[in-house]
Amino acid sequence: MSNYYTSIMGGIIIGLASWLLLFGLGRVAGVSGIMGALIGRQSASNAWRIAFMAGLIVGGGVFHLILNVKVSSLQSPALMIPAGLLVGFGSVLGSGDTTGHAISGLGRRSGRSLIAVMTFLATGVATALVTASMRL
Amino acid sequence: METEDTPYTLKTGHSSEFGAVAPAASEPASKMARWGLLLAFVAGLALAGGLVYGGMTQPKRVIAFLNISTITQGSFPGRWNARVGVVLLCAMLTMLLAYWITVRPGRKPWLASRFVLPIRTSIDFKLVVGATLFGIGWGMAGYDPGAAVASLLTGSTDAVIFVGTMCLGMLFATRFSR
Repeated sequence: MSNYYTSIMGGIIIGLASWLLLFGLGRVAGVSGIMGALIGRQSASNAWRIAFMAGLIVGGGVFHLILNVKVSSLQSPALMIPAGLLVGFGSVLGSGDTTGHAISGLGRRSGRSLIAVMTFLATGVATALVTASMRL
Repeated sequence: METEDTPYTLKTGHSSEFGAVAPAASEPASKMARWGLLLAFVAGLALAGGLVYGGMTQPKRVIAFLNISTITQGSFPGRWNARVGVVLLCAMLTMLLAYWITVRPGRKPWLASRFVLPIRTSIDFKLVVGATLFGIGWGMAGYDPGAAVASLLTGSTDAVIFVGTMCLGMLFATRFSR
């Protein structure tokens, strides 16, 4: 199980971060929900969203550096561009992403989130299987 | 995503909206609102820490988790890399505990007047189609929105391209949903 130590700890830290936002501000720590709100509408209560995103961006830079995590090699923009569009469009249309549905949503025991998670896991697996078979 | 966005009324009884930028420089922002912003920033930092430490910002690992064909290579679980699944599961279990402890009738968040949680329960076309498209993009790139945003300052052009097009996709969806 020592293989899984960082995965378990990483997961718990993600959960605690979401908890902090729930406990402190009563808000759901769904990254796509927060970004979608920032992009989609001007709201007076957007300040906390900007602060959260700033923390995520800065924290990402700092922790990659501190933990000396290697950054992935360059993938083809031909893959990244449609992937980004699909993730952005899909997460707003489906009201959530991995953080919003799989972590906060399932934590809330939401039926909608369960359906969403099963759906995106299924299509994610299907996509990975197809791309893996294409690479062989 | 919440379907309503009611301005915060602070516990202290101020009627100012939470997180609202002070309209004039002379008017000091509410102390509670400032603590709220700090808390949101720290929550973002911590989320980034968990994502990076848990390996969620390594697209190859995410794709390896989704590529379950490796499960048959050798004895169970074969060469399948389940670590991303373990991260998601542990985060979800933590939040299960969090909601159970934190969200109870009559309770309020520490720095806000109420919990703003999604209220919709219907399983509709948009939810399923959205999640379908999300999964395809996730499986292609190995990035989810949180991990991609947390990778912006690493110098990865992949993450920058991904976040840029993701914002565009979100904009399209916002227009489309109206």
